[in-house]
Amino acid sequence: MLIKIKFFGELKEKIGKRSEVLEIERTSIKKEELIPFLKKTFGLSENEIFNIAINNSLSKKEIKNGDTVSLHPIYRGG
Amino acid sequence: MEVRIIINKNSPSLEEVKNFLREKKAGAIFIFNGAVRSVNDGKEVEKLEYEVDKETVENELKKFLKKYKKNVYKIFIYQAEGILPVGEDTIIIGVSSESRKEAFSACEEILEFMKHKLPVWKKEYYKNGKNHWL
Repeated sequence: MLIKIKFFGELKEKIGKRSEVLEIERTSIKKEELIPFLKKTFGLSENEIFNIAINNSLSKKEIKNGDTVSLHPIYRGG
Repeated sequence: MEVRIIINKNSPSLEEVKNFLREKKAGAIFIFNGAVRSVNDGKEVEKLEYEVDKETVENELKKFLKKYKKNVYKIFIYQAEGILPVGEDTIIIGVSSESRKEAFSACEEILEFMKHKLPVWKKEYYKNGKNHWL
């Protein structure tokens, strides 16, 4: 499946881009599985803490083909 | 209940916020206005940069605001994004309700939700040339 990844804040600066399309050899993936996969893919530390939004929702738990995943650094207060 | 959410670089005037919030049944209009302060944690601040995941913020805010059904009539929310000099508006939350109690508590709840549960980040730029994501 293909998913679009969007980066924000410090993560955008660390990775050096705003977005990327990623191919994963699965038909779906759970949020808790995707996070370590993304850390490995983008060379982030295992200790890096971030949240993800799936199609602009913070409550969705599963990613499918064509979804957009937003990588969010910790929310420290706007 | 009517809701207006604005996320951009141009903060609305107080008049615009009040005009939206006015409602015949409302006995209270409460408006909170956050601003960029000149000193934070002992460091002299030159400007702030706000980054917002707009679509997610709007989506999650709309879901959160559904809880206000009774006695809250209108909610106005402005979240700044981009570069803001000292003194600029960072956030504006306005609530009109039947009486003051609902307006005060709704405004505080929305503010805390926005500060701690939504994808909004700020980078502080100091007068000494350094900067830091908060």
